[in-house]
Amino acid sequence: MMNSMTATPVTPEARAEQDSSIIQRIQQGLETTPEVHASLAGETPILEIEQFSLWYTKAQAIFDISMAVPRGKVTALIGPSGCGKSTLLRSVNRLNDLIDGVRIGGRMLLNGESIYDPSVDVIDLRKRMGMVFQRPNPFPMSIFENVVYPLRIDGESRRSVLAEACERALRGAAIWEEVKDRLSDSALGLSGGQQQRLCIARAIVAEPDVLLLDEPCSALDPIATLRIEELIHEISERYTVLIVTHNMQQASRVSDFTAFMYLGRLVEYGMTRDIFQTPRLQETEDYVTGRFG
Amino acid sequence: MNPAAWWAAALSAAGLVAAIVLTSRGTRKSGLKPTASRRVVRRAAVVLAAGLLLFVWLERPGGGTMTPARLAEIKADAAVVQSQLESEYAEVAAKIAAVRAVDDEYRVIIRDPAADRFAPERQSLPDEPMRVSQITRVFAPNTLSPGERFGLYLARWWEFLSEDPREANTEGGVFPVIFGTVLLTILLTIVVVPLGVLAALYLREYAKQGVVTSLIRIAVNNLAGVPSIVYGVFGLGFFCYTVGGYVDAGPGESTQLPTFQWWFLVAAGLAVVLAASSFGILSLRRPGEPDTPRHTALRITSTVAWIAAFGLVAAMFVTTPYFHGFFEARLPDPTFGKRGLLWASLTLALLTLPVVIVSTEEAIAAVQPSLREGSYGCGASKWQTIKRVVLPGAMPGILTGMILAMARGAGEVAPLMLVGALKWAPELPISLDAPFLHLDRSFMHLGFHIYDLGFQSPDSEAARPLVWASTLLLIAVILMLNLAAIMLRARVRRKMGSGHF
Ligand SMILES: Nc1ncnc2c1ncn2[C@@H]1O[C@H](COP(=O)(O)OP(=O)(O)OP(=O)(O)O)[C@@H](O)[C@H]1O
Ligand SMILES: [Mg+2]
Repeated sequence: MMNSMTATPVTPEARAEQDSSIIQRIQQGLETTPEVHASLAGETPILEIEQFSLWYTKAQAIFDISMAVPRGKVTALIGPSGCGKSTLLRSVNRLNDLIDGVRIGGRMLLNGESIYDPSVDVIDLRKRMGMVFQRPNPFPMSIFENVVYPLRIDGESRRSVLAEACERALRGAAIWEEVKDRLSDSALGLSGGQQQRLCIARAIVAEPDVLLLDEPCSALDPIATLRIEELIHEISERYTVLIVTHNMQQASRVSDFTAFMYLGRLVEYGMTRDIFQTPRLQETEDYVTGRFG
Repeated sequence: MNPAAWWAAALSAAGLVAAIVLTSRGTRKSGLKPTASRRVVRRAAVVLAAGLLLFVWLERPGGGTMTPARLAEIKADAAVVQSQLESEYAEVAAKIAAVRAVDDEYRVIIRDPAADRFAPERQSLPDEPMRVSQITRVFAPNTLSPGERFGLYLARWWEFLSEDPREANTEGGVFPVIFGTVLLTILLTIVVVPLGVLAALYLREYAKQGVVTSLIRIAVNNLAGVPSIVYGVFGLGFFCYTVGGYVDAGPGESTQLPTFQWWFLVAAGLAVVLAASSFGILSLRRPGEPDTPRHTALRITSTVAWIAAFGLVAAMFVTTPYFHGFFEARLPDPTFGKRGLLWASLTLALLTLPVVIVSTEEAIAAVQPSLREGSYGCGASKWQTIKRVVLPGAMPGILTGMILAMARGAGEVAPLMLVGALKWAPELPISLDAPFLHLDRSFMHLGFHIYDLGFQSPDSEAARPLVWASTLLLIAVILMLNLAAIMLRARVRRKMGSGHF
């Protein structure tokens, strides 16, 4: 990919301050300061993550991450497998509450309101976010019922409203043409890629503020992937999107901002263009060009 | 009691209810979950309102009192009805006497050339020749064509399936017996499936896995190993006599408390319920916080308090001075305080409960976690997730449990001998008179019928073919019930594969 430019070396001060590379320091369990680009300062955040840590029973999965997710933009989370991307994403809508023994530290603010405040209705919080998982998980119901599920649980039962929302969401997820004649068939009869687009339709049907996508394309073929990427582009005008991906091209194509994580820590965070073309850290460049990972 | 106090209680109850309704609306709109203390206060209001409403209802002025004029009116009406029925009875009795007289005019004597005896009226009356009315079918076997024989065979089968038994069950059909078996099995299924599913949901979804749930699981598994006659004895003692007696007559004089003491008990019960639920709310940890010893202690206290509350509620029922039974007027004849269909189906439901619990638990556990997460991720509450995703996903497994329970319950005989099956039940448990389904009636059951024919009949030689036929029928009935359930399960599976859930 864009290898025409070699990365400009990081500021000399930063280099001097660190006697070894940041990756080595993380591996040794030492304190690190993430590289957060100045370009983020100009954005209004919708989601602020403040010194957030998370433990699974004993093992710590997220170490003191602070980052602000800009409103109305697509932010990509990248990093090697097991670095805590899914965990961070699931912390945003508090899905980790469901796992026994999870502890957290720090705060997360959605529109300035603390997500983990005890007075927050977690149901309402989740209704304001749509989530798409790594593997498609359609419910054992009809395609129609799958898509309108978030509306149904919200008490909406007017057939016309549901039908309209269903069509809008299915069109939005670029699957309307394929399923419009079989809306009452089981969703389990769809192909994997179709199922995933169905799950995307389900995630956007209730018009959420934030869309959380956990490797939405990992089960898809290149064409379906492309469609989903176009889709993310389209909906990013209306929603804030937080997307986890292993595909560097995808990150560079769909996202406005990119955060690079490693072993539960944030390493570098900035505009996607900068992260991919002029990263400040050698490690980031190695990772995005595939020389490390 | 003092009307002023009554009005005060009624008004404060109404005020509390209004306050609860109003606050509930407010919290829902703001989208915020009430914090622990607010929830405790709301529970307190609910509990107090419940107590006051109970008080107002039981102490309502003039409620349920009977004026002498009204009583006289009712008695007059009853007398009219009684005289009508009596004249109808006299008519019917006259008709019967006329028929009897005709029947007595002729006797049937069949000459058997070899033995030279006649067919007696009854085995026990060898000197009385048969009556005309005892002839049900006349045919000459040696002159029948094969077609006629087959027709006769079918007619005999039809008689067997559709008619009442005669001559101490050794003749005639077994229709009420089949009916009783099927009805009992359906009733037990209706009772056991919801009960088992609720228990399994509690164990799998709501209870914190630990000592208590392990103990419950062990108890359930042990329940499966208890000999079935023990269930019969338990059902007779607990359901028929204790619960049934309570339904008939209310608590006995000896256990009733004076009004004042009973209300003290009610207050104690409400206080304990409130304490239990408050401890429960306070023991909830904040998301992302570790479990502290304080939380554990609160949770255990809450559990203990719930158990105490349960005991107090039971005590309230046993000692209430207000309840005198639903069938007080019929005493000393028992209505529900005897063996009957309801208690038999409850006993069998208890017997088959472990099967349903175990298979439902397995089915619930087999629902993929990703589906639950998807549902929670859409903003569904726990109950919505269970209702819309978990239970439909577990439905085939639940129905398998139901099929196993039916198969086990339909073939049980031993407990039924104690709790309700009769050798001869004069009426079907359903009729056209309200309440249509008479759960208090006794019934006949194929399993018991076979036992009765084989071991209790006056002429076991004659009854032997009936034993074989009834056994075949029992197997066929169980098979049919199971097939129906299996077809239902297949339908559910198909539906799940094709939507509309
Ligand atoms: N339920 C869990 N219980 C205990 N540990 C967990 C659990 N889920 C994840 N972990 C651990 O937390 C760490 C981060 O996992 P996570 O799933 O967030 O990684 P990821 O970045 O999404 O990886 P991938 O790219 O492979 O999906 C891993 O070390 C993982 O083993
Ligand atoms: Mg992941």
